Amino acid sequence: MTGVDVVVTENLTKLYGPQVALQALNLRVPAGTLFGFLGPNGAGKTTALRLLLGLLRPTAGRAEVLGRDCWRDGPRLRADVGYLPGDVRFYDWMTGRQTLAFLDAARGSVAGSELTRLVKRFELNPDRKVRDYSRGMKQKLGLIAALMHRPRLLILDEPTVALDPLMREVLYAELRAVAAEGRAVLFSSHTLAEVEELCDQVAILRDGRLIEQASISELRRRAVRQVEVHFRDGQPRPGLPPGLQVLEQSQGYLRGTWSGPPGELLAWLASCPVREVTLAPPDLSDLFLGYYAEAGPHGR
Amino acid sequence: MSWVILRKTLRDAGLLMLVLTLGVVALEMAVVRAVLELSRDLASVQHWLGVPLVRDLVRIALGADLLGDLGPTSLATFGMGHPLLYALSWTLLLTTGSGAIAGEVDRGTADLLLTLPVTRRAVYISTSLAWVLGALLVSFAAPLGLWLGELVCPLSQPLELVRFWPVAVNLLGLNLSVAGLTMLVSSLLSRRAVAVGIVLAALLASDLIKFLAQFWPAVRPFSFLGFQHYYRPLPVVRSGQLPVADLAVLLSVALAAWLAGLWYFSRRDIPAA
Repeated sequence: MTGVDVVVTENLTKLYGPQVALQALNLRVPAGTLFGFLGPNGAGKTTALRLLLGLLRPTAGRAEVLGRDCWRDGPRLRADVGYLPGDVRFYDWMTGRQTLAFLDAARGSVAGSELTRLVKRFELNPDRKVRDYSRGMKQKLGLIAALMHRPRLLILDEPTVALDPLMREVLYAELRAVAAEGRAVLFSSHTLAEVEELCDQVAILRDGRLIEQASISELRRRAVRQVEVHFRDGQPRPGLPPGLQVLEQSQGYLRGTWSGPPGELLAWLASCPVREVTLAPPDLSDLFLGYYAEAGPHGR
Repeated sequence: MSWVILRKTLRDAGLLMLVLTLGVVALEMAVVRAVLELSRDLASVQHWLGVPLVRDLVRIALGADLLGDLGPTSLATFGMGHPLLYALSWTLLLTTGSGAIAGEVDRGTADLLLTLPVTRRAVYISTSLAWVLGALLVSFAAPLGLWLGELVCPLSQPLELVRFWPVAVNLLGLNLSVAGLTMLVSSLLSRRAVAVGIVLAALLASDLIKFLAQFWPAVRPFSFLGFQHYYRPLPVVRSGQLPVADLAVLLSVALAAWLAGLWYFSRRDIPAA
């Protein structure tokens, strides 16, 4: 089912009184992708995810998940959606096993052996009361609950919060497997490295507006590289290529950033008496932080 | 309607339901024991009921004047109008009703329920069935307790238990209207404590109207606003008939509040925990 958009929003808007939580969001999430939803606190990520799940009613615009309207067809579309809230809560009088059994029964007992596999994979002790679980254990329980019915779309709000590094790797592997099967994962995150490592595409929100949606490879092309050059002589370097932004320059030394394909930079370096050169891989963090920090109410 | 959610709600509230139902049974058994004691000294009872303030308070509690009819059946009606009966019943209804919507939003578990493939209407109906069951239990536990009390502690003149069933139905109507109001308030809010506080304030105001109307003529025209205006156990015991008009009012209030709660809950936003 790759090529089909599993999430489509058109001018999706949510107001709380006069306060704009989300402004005219136009988003498309293709099937078979790992889609990262980025933005600073209060950018509108959670509001957008809750609108997709039918927990909030749009003020204007529309949202479709798996071809169904999120508000009107909520129950039917939620059969094919797995959700992990940002602050996951359970009935603390139930055990983990009872929680999963309750949620599976409410979904028509479709989990079967997948439930057992996920409990083992995430190393969850399901026989303890939820009230005795640590924050990380609750997060694992939430992830199993979201994954166990093999949904066509996973919506995860900050899924790696409270997970140890090993469990993060387990989760990454599970999410990659989900995407490889043609299902989609839409997750919000603050961890830029995680998004960079995991995602095929990202959308960046700020002040309730979508300011960027692009593939990671496209963003990498746009991202700058850190460049450091030591020259054999101490002469000033005229005719710098236009993509080179100099941050520091002294006799025989230059430090800066390079944007664009590296060929032009390498050609220029070949014409200089270079003693040593360091060219770092493209750094998306700087690009993301640039989006976050850009001034003005309307973004780019 | 979702049986899975109903089962979960009943498991959540089951212990409280059992404890409070047994509490009502124990209260009524204690009332039967008290009736046995009072029957031994009816002259003293008659004397106290002659005191105007006592007489008015009894009228407030039972909905009619007890003086002149001091048989065990009339005396046992105290068990159907005792404040502890209201306290036990309404604790159950406020707990289950407020826990259904505001409680789920408050503790953050609404996200679990409302992202399942069930409609909000199904969630509302399933959780409502839990408090309907609770209302049935505590309402009919009262005559059951009187019956058990008489088995344990036989009276010289047996209770006419058949006269208490219409009162239990009237009590059920009262309890359903309280539960319906609780569901409405719970649907409107996201904080359980606030929902409980509002319903409790409404019930205390209703009780205050009933109390003041007995002593203050200017308040009497407003006594119809109180829930307990439609629950008068002694006249029902005496007639042995269902108080159809009172029941109609109570059930209409219950249904209107419940439907208003359903309408609002189906449309409202569910905020993040």
